[in-house]
Amino acid sequence: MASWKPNATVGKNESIGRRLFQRQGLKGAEDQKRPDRTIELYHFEENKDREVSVDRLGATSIDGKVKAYLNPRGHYEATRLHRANFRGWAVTKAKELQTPAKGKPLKIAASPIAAQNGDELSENRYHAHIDMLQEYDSHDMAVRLKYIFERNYHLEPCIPPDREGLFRWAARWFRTLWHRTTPTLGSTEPRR
Amino acid sequence: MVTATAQAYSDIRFRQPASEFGFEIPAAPVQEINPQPLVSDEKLGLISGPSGNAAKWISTIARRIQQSVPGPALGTDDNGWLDSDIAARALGFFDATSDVLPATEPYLYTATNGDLVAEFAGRHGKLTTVIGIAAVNSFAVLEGQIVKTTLNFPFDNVLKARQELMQITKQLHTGAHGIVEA
Repeated sequence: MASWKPNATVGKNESIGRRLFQRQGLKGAEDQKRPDRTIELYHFEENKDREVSVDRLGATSIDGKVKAYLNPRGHYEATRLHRANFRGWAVTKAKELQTPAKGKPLKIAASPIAAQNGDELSENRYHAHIDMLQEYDSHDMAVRLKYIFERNYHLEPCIPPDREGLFRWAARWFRTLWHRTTPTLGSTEPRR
Repeated sequence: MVTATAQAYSDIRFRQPASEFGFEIPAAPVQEINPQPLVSDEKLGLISGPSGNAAKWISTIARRIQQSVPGPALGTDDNGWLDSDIAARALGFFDATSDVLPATEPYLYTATNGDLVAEFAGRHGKLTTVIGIAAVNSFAVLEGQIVKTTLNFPFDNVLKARQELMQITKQLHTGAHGIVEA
């Protein structure tokens, strides 16, 4: 089955995910208890521009193929930008942002990213961004998103890099085995 | 018909004895004062709302903030450390306002730019306070709407900020009415 091809317009039932990168807590506050159902403010902060990046994880729910596509990109971003571990996504429905029960609606715009300099992992076909409201600064926007997500979200965990590596290794091994046992169907050389 | 008023009754009851038989009027019992602290005295720090006393969590929070400032040999580049200037401002802010902040202990962490974030939970919402070098911004979401209060350093408007925080704390405890979005 082909992977999901998202429309140019973000649908209200789409699963919108914000990537979560684990950071160390305050050194002197290791004895404090982290409250339940809390997403720290820094997960929603964007200092570069007035757009908050999100991933479109599926038309109505989490699409497994989309997640498999985005997962290595999350780990790649973690090592490249954040010096922190990628944990997964905080996921909510697009309509929670587009048509909130109270407060101004937020616009989600589809903005796929093409591969840069041949770097496959810099490509993101499912990228979108939330425009920051004109009257908001970075903290205002982060607080707004934090509370919208906290009200109705689920945590979609990432596939850890080691397990992802195991899957890839298993897939390669299976392909090799397939070609060895069925030489008449194709080349004896394993595909790369 | 007897139409005794409260005033008249009061006059009769508390009139000073005019005769030498004043001893016939029973003396009011002496009220004993319990020297032990009342339960309410011990629970002042738990009251949600302005109490006039520092919050019960203030010493714990002050310790956590102080222990998060690196020694002179270490920098704040590593995650988890707090800039000493921000720590000093945070301590000053909590000293000035802890009695009008929610009674529950805040959850502390740093924002991306190194500001200190303190999150309080109330019955009807949350209060997120971001303490930076220049100002303290407090955000509350009450019934889905954001209320923002700013206190600039040095504390030029601490009374106004205290009143606003007190109002927010009350609303977090009891529910909000008539809030305007920031």
